[in-house]
Amino acid sequence: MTTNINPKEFIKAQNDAKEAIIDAHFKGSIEYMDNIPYYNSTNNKDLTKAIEKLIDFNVFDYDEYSYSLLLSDDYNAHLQTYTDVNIKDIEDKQKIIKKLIRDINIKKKDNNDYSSEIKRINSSFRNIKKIIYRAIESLNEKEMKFKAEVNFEVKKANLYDCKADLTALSEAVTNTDKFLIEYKSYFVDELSNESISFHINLLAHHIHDVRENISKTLNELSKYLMHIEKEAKKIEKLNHLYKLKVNGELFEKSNIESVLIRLKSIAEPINVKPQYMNDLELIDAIVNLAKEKKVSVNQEIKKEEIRPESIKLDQNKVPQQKMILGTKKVYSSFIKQDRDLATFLKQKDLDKKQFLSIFIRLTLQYNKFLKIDKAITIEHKGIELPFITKRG
Amino acid sequence: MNLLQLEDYKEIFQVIEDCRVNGRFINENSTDYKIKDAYNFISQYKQEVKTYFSIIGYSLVSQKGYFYFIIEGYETIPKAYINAYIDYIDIYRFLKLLNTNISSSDGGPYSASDIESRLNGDIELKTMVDKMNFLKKRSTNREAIDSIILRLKNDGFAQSMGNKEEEFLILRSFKFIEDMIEEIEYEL
Repeated sequence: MTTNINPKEFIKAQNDAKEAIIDAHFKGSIEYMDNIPYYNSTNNKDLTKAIEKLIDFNVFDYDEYSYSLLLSDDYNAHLQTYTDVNIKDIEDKQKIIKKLIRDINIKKKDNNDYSSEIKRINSSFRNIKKIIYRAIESLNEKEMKFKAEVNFEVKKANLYDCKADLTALSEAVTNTDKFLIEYKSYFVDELSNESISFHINLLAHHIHDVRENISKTLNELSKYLMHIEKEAKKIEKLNHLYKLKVNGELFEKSNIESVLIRLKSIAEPINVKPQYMNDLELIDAIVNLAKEKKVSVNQEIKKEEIRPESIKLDQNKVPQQKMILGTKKVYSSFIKQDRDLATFLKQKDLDKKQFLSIFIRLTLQYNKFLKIDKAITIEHKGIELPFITKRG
Repeated sequence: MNLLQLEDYKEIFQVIEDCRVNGRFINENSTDYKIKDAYNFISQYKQEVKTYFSIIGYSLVSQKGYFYFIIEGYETIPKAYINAYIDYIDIYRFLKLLNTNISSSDGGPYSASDIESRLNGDIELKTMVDKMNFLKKRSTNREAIDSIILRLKNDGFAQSMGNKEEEFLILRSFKFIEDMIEEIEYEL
């Protein structure tokens, strides 16, 4: 896993910080205690941004225990064109700490001062925390990138890359946790060093915070990976179907025909347009089709027939009865007489559904030529109907 | 629904009737507010609308995010329509490789210019489009893209974003194509 640091940005940050420090010095806003400059963020607001930038670039290392800014151990690495955020560095830092423990033990035996080793151990703990933080940041950036990526192959490759990094980070975090548990008693009880205890606690808290997030992200990523694999199968299937199509083997080697028949509903809406230009033709066509295919009434009508208030239909007569539903025909005879629509339709031998159907359809289709009076209602087979008459 | 309220629903009913006669889908994510109203109306009065159209031999089919009508009694589909749906193997394959996010559940909007830039820089996609013989004659990548979008629109699977001809939405009804491909099985 690598994060590129733009060298121009890095140099700019260094120069800005240098200028800000000189500026602050001449302004007198930097206090000196025992001849050591004391940086106070409230008095040095201009300086804060520049220094934070350098902490980001790992030039400075801020020790939260002693509130001091130190030159980072990794500063030299940052002088290179770019720096790797390498999860394996966590393991290296642990190795360094183990070596320093050995050095401390030797120095302790000889009653020598080991404060420099303590400082380096603290710095390593801070660096582990920083690497974990950066790795998460880098993964977030990658995650955003692969989600937005439209090219399927690139997306898939990035996703696997991201998952591998996340898995590595998850393992590194777990190992660090184990490492802390293993050496906690040495640092806290045996060495009794407050600054190390402080750094161990800080790192342990950080691990506790990120662990849940890492496992959650890993879980989400695995789900997303499953989705992508599903998409990959879809594409593979489409590629294969395409090949069959080009080779003229689609019907022979696939069940596409039966699928299209099962999904005939897909084709039918498009079928309607050229075949039926208006309702009258449509009804006639359906009736003819029904006659030809001996199609019985559909389920909806059958259900209606068993209702007590309906007039029971003779199934064989259905096609003939449907003939009367031609809106145009009914309208032509309606305008030749003076009764209202409901009364007029009552004269026809219609069941409840047919009656309602023709009533609604005629009203909708010819509403421009009809007058509706909601104040008067006509009752038919338990339904209240508006009083509709022809205009003029 | 009370028949006395028919006057209030007249316009919506006419929209539904128009969709039925012209074989259009009634999509939840349509940019046409009339279609959206019709979708909401059917969602509310599904049984009434179903019963009403069943009398004239139509079945209202309800799917997640869209409705459509089918005629009962058909046994076979004319070959022209089979071919029309087979074209979607090419179109769906192209869309999937163009952008895996394009689907009935994530409707977009998508930009014709973005697709064009992809096409300009991707030989595989360009070859795919070149082989789509069912599209009308086209000489530029943009014409090819417009032609695919037009086909999707005409078949009721896509729609323009209001006045923005450049942008289009994939409608929920595109699930039809997704389901069709999903159902196909083949010999290896």
